[in-house]
Parts: sequence; structure tokens; C-alpha cells
Amino acid sequence: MRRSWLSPHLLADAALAEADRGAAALGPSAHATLLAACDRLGESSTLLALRAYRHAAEAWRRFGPEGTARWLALGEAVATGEPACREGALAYFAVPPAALGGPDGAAAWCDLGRAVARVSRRLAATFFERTAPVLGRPDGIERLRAWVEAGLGLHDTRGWRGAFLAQAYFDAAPGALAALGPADYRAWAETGAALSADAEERAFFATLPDGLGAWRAEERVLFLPAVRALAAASPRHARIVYRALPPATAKLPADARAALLHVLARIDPRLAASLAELAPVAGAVLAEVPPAERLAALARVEELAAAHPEAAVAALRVLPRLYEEASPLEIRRWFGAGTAVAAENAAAGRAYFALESRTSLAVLRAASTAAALEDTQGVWRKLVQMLSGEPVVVRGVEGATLRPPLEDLPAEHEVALPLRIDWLPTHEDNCRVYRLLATVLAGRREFGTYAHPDLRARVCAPELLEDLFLLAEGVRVHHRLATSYPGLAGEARALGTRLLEGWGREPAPSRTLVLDALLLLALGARPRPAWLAADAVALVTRLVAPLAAPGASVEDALTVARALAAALDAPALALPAAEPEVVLLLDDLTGGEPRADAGAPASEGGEAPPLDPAALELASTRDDEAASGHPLSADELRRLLEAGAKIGQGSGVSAGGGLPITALVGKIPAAQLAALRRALGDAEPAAARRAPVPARDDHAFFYDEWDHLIADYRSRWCRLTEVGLAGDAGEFFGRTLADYARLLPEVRRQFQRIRPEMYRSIRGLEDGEDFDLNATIDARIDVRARRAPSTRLYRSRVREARDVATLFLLDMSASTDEPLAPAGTDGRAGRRIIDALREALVIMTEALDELGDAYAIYGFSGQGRANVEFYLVKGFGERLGPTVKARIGGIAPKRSTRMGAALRHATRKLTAVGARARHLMLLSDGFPQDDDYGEDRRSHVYGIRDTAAALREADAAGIMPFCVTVDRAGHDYLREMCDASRYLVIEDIAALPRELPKVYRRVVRA
Amino acid sequence: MSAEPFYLPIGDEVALFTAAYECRLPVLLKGPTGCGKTRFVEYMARKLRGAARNGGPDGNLITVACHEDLTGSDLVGRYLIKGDETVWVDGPLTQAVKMGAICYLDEIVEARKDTTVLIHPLTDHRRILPIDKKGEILEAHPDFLLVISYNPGYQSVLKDLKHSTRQRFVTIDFDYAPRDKEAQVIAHESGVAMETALELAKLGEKVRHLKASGLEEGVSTRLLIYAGLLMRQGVPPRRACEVAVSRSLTDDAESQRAIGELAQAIFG
Repeated sequence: MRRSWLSPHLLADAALAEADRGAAALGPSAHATLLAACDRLGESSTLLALRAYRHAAEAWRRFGPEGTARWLALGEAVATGEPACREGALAYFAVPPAALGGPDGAAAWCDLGRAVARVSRRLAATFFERTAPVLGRPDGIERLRAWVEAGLGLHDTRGWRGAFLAQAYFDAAPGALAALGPADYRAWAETGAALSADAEERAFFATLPDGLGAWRAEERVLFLPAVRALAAASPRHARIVYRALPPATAKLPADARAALLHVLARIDPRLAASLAELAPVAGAVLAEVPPAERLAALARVEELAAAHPEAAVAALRVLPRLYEEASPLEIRRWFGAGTAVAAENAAAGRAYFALESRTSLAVLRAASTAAALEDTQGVWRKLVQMLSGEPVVVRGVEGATLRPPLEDLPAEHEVALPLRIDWLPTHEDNCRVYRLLATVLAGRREFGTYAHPDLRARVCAPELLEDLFLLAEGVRVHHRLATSYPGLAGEARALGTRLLEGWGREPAPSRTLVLDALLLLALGARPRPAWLAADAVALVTRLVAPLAAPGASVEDALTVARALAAALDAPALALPAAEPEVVLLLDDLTGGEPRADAGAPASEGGEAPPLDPAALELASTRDDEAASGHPLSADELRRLLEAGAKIGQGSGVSAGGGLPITALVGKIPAAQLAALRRALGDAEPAAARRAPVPARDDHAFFYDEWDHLIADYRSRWCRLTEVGLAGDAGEFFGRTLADYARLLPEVRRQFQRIRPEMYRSIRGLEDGEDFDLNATIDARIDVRARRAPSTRLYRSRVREARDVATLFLLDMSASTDEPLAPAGTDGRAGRRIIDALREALVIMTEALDELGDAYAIYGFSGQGRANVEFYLVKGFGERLGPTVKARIGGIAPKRSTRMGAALRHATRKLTAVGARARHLMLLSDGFPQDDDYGEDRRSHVYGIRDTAAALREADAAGIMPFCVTVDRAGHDYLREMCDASRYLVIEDIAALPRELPKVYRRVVRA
Repeated sequence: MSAEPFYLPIGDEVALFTAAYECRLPVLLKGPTGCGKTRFVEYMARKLRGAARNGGPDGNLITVACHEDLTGSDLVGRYLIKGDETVWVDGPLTQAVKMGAICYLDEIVEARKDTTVLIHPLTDHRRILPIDKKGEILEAHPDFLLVISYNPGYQSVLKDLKHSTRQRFVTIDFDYAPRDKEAQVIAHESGVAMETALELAKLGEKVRHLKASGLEEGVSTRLLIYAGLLMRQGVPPRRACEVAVSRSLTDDAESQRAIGELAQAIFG
């Protein structure tokens, strides 16, 4: 019998033909039964009948006649029942009977599907199409029940969006149903609804974040509601946390992750933005905390979060640094002190726990035994300078080794010292290590290490040679130091013995550690660590022995290094593989230069492969591009580095694009460096106030800044550099003198009058230059009258000198470029505020030359707290010569007005002057302002308060500040910054050249 | 009779001074503090003039340490009341002019400017000393010689030696001796062993590298001698260097510490 739904397809569809043969093989009766059932289905849909027929024989074999009948009936009910869902029935019959888990399972599945169909046929179709794989699980139906309940809940409770949400939710079944647990579905669905507020639903439900499925159920129970809570404040940031946190914490132990999630659950949702910044790096940050301390650390942060959630986020970020610098007990105390600060002032607490406030750093450092370069680099710089006779600049580098790297450019006099040393249990001992390193750096200069200009080229290959040269040369320099400086003779040995005792406990020493240990052993330190073979030590000691001779040269060291390289080639003596340069300095990304040999093939030492330019693709942060991996965005990378986390090398496959962080080995080739720089510059910036100030610049000055919100100083907040001024050839100075030719004589006369009588006569002295006639006559009379005469018969002239030093600090901000008046109206085209200020200074220099007071002139401007510029016009020791006159002509408007840092630097200058009366005269045209001078750029309160603090500091240092402004609105803020007697508003800017000398005469007292 | 002062010549300063003395040319000794200027003058006075007679005031050399309150009267003399009488008492400059001694004005720029009025007529062809209070003009003894000293690095801009004054003198530059010679001086003056003296001289040489990088002046030979004297009294070397060198040289804690580290490197 030809069946219209079957016959036409038998020839074309081999699988159908096979199914038909299978059905026929069941016997005529069974075959007929199956065909009859499919005939009924064919009345609704040919495709339906075909689908059913394909699996009918299998169903018969598996379920038996009754079971098959039930199987068929279920599908038919789905297709034709109320409500009918033909697509659902098609999906039902597409599932092999073996995968259904039995007729009961099938029945339960169909019941659920039909329940969905009563809400939406489309949803039901999706349900049937996508949920079959879970039927084979023992808890399959339970899962499906929960799944449907959550999905229908989405549909019913979200208004018009519910249908879209539910659709996306049901579409996600293949991945989410199995990865999540029944208890998670509702929470996940609701989270998706919350996070999809302003973005396509599919983006959330399409994929789960990497690693979320591997979490324990109780972790998800913490995570999802927390994300939902964040979404209430900021769906965008909550989405970032949702996507970023699971992969970021994938490698953390479950208990640490759970503890972190507990912290997350406690944090105020209003901090979603901060959490979004932290989430991508949370795992890396926590990985830097010693494993034994992680839970305790997180417990402390959780406790903090309960009371001070903002501070808790900050504390999370700095955990690695805390554990680097202090012991667990000391950290506990630090938390305690910080909690007290936060209790009084939330902003201060935030700054405290972010390690930004002076108080925070003071408490931490009081607790730490590590020696930090920041605190002592001046000492080591001076020591190197004294020993070597050459001024040097100190550069801080990550990682400590007893074999400092060779300088790339010895002529630049830049030496590298580790940013911190915490090898030994006391601060003093760690400082001893610094001293040892400083003497080695000086010794290299003194004993000819850099005698050959091509030294670096001679040791760069093979790769091990430079390491071994540093060892050999280290031995040579140490011996020469010991000979020249007897105090150092036993220092390397004594210190080395203490270091080796600790290093011996290292379970897996790196190559650097091994080579440092060999150096110490070659210098006589003991004991030999167990992980260092005795014959390797003996070999090295024997080979380096000749370098102890007084006449050993750097060439000899190079020869020994080559011999060591050859000898250590033997497998038994092989060193550990070179560890990749796993630590990136921020300045490597924003200011460092790439190596010339970038892209060279990897060596055999097991280093990571060279950078693949194609792999360097910094991903965007848009959720809808989320793929199977989570590439680090530029902003995430910056946050990672700001958190101080070290970037370790791992392994794994990333399917997504973006830069595998593991590919960042050593320095980055120029093209990729440029791309990274651009990306960092273009990335949505973290709050500018958290942008780190590079701390490595030995030419810069770092100043704290007063933050009135936290009632504390932000430590080393501003970086100030002294900048020279290119001048004209003195034309401006000369022109001004000509322009004010009538004024100058009067000014000079005025200043002559204030120049004191150089000597003042004092009478009634017991000894002096000459007789005091009156006293002498009186004494004579007393003698005659038989009275005891006075012995105070002399007089003397006491020097009455003006011992005054004044520093003029000139605001060179961009606003001084404004014209005083429209061109031509004051008889001088284009005269600007800055010109009036310069002219006033010219007049002052003439007047002060007459008076003889010591004075200096500096200007300031800059942009941002990392770039405050202090311009030299005239120093105290300089005369008013052609150079100074030219510089005055070179004064020009620049950028911003960060007054506080400039005032502090001016105070520093004046403190070094030995005058009895020291005055600081600030000449400005407006209020203090800068890009990041306070959280809210629209408000000037922060800048005003900081400037006020700087003025108070000057006062406390015995310096008398005085502010002169040409801002007519100056009263508004100057009265906040200082006492009324300490400032003056000059309303007519053009009159400043005339007025400033008068102000000086009035204000500056000897 | 006092012993001959010890002085170790560094360059040709002895020959120069001798030549200037022969011509009675005023001499300006220019150099940092504690490098031997005063000792040099004492040595040359003894060498050129022989020992002082009668154990009385040294007829060879009269030294005046100038300070900012030093006036012309302090140099020339003044009237004093003794009992019922008013007596003129010659100042040190007048004494030297009369006796024909060498008058050494140490750190002349510190003195008041009215002393310049006295120096000028003595140091040009006139060789006279006007004593206004007595209405006298004293002609200098043929053996009279004026020597002044001056530390160019120390004074502030305002305290400078004007050209009208400095160009009346022959200038001999002084500086700290090379290490080996300075060690000899230290050993002689302090009595420490030459080995220790060499270490002290090395310390001095190294510390002087910090001049203008945290230190206004380098460490003087005088301070190194003090350190040696303390060591000879049993003070540990590092402590002696601390009190005699680093704390005397600077108040900056960082510089003090750096010098302390250097001392430790040298002495242990």
C-alpha cells in the first residue's frame, strides 16, 4: 500500500528506508501497527509522520507495543492536543527513544512541554528542541521542572519584555541546563532579566561565563543574587562583574572563591563600578596573597565590608601589597587602625584602605620589616656617588637579585636597585642588602666593568652568558671592594650566609636564585642549599677563583663566564630554565622602549614563544562580543597593573581573540607597544585620581597633597619636575625697562629709603669702638662724688643688615594668556596678563638689586598630579645677568594651576636659604585648578583647601607667604586660603608693575 | 720657643709665597675651609722669619679671625679708659704694621666693609695705615706683609670680595691634598697609624664627591684630623666619623646616613 507520507521519501532517504526495514523486521503485525499510527500522524503533518516512523522500530524494540503506543500518543498529543505544538512534536519525535529515559520520562517531558505550550507554542517548540539531552540524566526531569518554572516565571513577570527574555532563556538550555543546577535556574533567569535592562537579552543568556558551571552550587547561590543586586544600581557594571569574575577566579581554590563571593555579597551595590574594575583581576590579586592567609584576609575584608563597603573594595585591591610589606599580625593591626579611620570619615577610610593616605602608609611601614627603595634611595644614590665619584640616578626595578643587571647606557649614570627587599627578617638587614648592591654598582664603575663600550653586545649570546658574566664579574668586583674598603671585606660572606640559610628552604628555586646562591658560595658564604649540587658549586668556585686576584680585569671575568657557560652545559649541571620576565612595569607599557631584538626566536630554555603580532588584539569590553574566553581589555590590563598584581605565566587555550596575557614576555616589540599604548590611552579611563604616579624618577620631586575629604595627606601624590626656561635674548627685559623708564627712578628711590642704615649705634657697653661721652662724663662725676662709677662707658655701631630672602612664585597657567584689554585700547597691542606679571617682575628685579635683598623667581604650571612643572627663572645664587633677563622674557602661559605642589616645592627652596626673614610671594591670576585636583572637577574646594594647607606648611617652616592675585574674584577664595593680611587683590591688572614694588615694601620685612 | 708648625707642601705654594714675601706683595689664600691655609701661613712665617724671640707675642705673625662684627677699630685700635687715664691701645693690624709682622686676616669677607678702607692703602704702593682717631698715618714697616684668606664656596652672593680689593693681592689657590699627602697630614696631626690615616683620607676623598649634591662643602682635613684624634683616644672609628665628620658636615639626615654607610664600608 502506498502511503503518501512515506513512499515518496523511501527511495531518497536511506535512513528512512533503513527505518522502514527495521519496522518490517518487527513482523507484519507490529509493522502494521506502526504504520497505522504514523498514518494518523501523517494526517496532521507528513514530516511528523516521517519523524515518528524513523524511530518507531527502535521504540517498539525498546518500549514494547504498549510503550510504543504511549510514545506515539504522547507525540500526537503534543502535535494535536490543546494547545497544539507541531514543532514541539517534531522535536519530540526527533529524539531517539533511547535518549528519552523511558516512557515515563517522556511523558513527564511532554507534560512540561505542553505546560509551556499553554503559555507559548514557540517557547514550547524551543523547549522540546533544546532540552532533550538532559533527559538521560537521573535528575533530568527535576531539572526540567525547575527550568520550566524559571522560564515561565520570566515570561509572566516581565511585561512585554518577558517573552523575549523567556525565549532567550529557553534558547540557552543546551549549555545552561546541564552546567547550572536546578536551584540556580530561577536565580540565573532573574539575573539575566536584571542585566538585560539596557542590552539585548541574548547577550546574557547565549553563553555562561567561563568557569561558572564548574563552581559549586553554593557559590552560584552567592554570586547570582549579588550580581542582581549590583544590577539594580548599574546593569552595565553588573554585567562586567558577571562576565569577568568567574573566569578571573577559575583557578582559585573553591574556599577562597567562596570567601570572595561572601565579600561580594556584602558590598553595597552602589559600588558596582569599583567592583567592575576589580572583577577581571580579582583572581590575580588574590593569587598574590599567600595561600595560607587568603581566607583570613578575605574574612577581614568581609568584616570591613559589613561596616565600610567602599573601603572593602579598596582593601581587596591592595591585599598583595600588604602581604608583601608586612606580616599577617601587622596586617591585622593595620586593618584595625583603618577601621577606626573609616568609622570617623568614610572618604578617609577609602583612602586608607587604598594605601593612598599618609596615615595608611605610616601605619603599614611601621609594621613592615622590608626595606623600600622609596624611603632610602637618596642614601644609596649618595653612597654610589661618593664611592664612584660620579653622580647617578637611581631607577627602581621589580625583583631583587645580587647580580644587578648591566646598564644599557653607562654614560647615562642610571643605576638600578630593587624597589623593595624583604629577604631577611629585620629592616636593618634588608638595608644591608641595599648597601651591598649599592657598593657593587659603584664598584663596577670604580673597577672598570664598563671600560669596554661594547660589553653588552659581548655578553648577549648565548643567553646564559650574561647571567654567568654577572656572576663572574660580581666575584671580581666584590673582591676588589673588599680590598679597597675593609669594612666590606666580610660583608658579602656574612650577609650571604644569612641569605643562604633562608634560600635553602626554597622548594623550587628559580635560575636567578640559583645563580645568586652560586655567587655567595663563591664569596665564601655557607651553607650550600640542598638543591644545589656540590660538584656544581665546586666547579664554579674553582673557575672563578682567579678573579680574586687584584689584577683581575673585566676581560678575565668574561673569559671565566664563557668557561662557566661551557661547563654548565652538561645535563647534570644544568641550571633551571630561565624564568620568563613575568613582571611588567607600568612604565614598560607607557614609557619604556622596546628591545631591538624583539621577535627573535625563542631559545631552548623553555621560555614562552615569541609574541605573535596577530595575537595582540586588545578586546573591547562590550558584552555582546563575549566569546568562550575573556580577553583582557586595555582597561582591565591597566587595572591589573594598578592593583600591583604580578602577571604570571600560565597555560591554556583561549578560543577568543585578544592578547593572551601569557604572551607578554619581556618587553614588547615596538609596533605592539605602540598599539598597547594607544589602547591604554583610549580605554575608558579609571578614575584619573587612581592613575599611578610613576615612582621611579630620580629627577622628580614627590609631594603629598592634602585631601580635605579624608582629612589626611595623600602620600606622594604629586610629581613635580624642575624645568628650564628657554628665554629670549633679553629683549623683553630691555623693552620693559624702556617702557617704564619714568617709573624706575622713583621705584629705586623708594627702595633706597627702605634700605636701612647699615649700622646702628648702641650705647652703654662695657666694651666698644669708642667712648660714650655722656657715660664717661657721668662716670667722672661719680668718681668725684665718691660713688662707684659705671663701667659701661663705650659705644659701638651694630650692623643692621636686612637679611631677607624672597621667592616670587609665578602662576604660568593658560589663563594668563588672556588679554588685558582689546588690542589697541591700552596703547599696546595684545598685552596679556602674563605680560603684566613679567613686567612687574622686571621692575622688582631692578628694585631688589638696589635694596640688596636676596631673591629668586620661579614659575609653575603643568597638567595633572603626575606632571607638575616648576620653572627656573632665577635662583637665589644667581645674579641678575643676561641669562636671567632672557628667562624672564621666556615666561609664557602653560597649562594648569596646581598651587599646592608648587608652594611646597617653593617652601623647600626657601628652607635651604639661610636668611633670617624668608618670604614667599605668590603671583597668580586665579584659583587653583587642575585636571585631577579633587574628585569633582567642577569644584575648586579641594584645590583651595590643599593650597591653604601648603600655605600653612610654609608658615610652619618659618616662611611668610603672601598671595597677590589679579583675579577680581580673588577675595572669594583667598580668604579661605589665608588670613586677610596675607593676600592682596589687585583689581587693575595693568597696574601690577607699579603696584608690586609697593606691596613688597609693605609686606617684606627684615 | 714653640715648635715649627707642620705643613706638607702640596704644590708650589711655598715657592710662590716666598717670592711674594720677598717683594712684600700682599697674598690672598683662596680655598675651602680646613685645607691648611692658616697652617701654611704659620709655617711660612716661621720659615721666612725664624722663631719668635723672648717667647712673647709672636713678632712674625699676627692672626685675626674675622667675623661679621669685626670693625676697623678692632683692627686699628681704640682708646680705653684705664684708671683715670685714656689710653690708646693698638689693634692687631697696627701692631703688625709697626712691628713688621705678617698680618693674617682669616675669612676677610666676613668682616665689616669698613675694614676694606684700611686694607686698601696697605696693599698698594702706599703701604700706609691711616689711624683717623689719632690723626696719624702710619707707614708700614718694611717687613710688614698682609695676608688674607677667603673661601669662595662658602659665602653667599652678597658676601663677595670686590675686585677693587681682590686685585690688590697675589692669589694662591688651596684645595684638599691628594689622598696620600692628606694621609700624611692626618697621621702627623692626629697621631694615628698611617693605615688609619689613609682610610680617613679615603673617606674624605669620597665624601667630597657629594659636594653640590647634598653638601655645601666637602669635609675638611681638619675634621678628618679630629676624627683621627678621637680614634686615638679609643673612640670606635665609625662613631668618630659620625661625630667628627657627618654630623659636623651636614644636618640632612639622608646625607648623614650615606656618610655613615661609607664609613662602615671603609672601617667596618
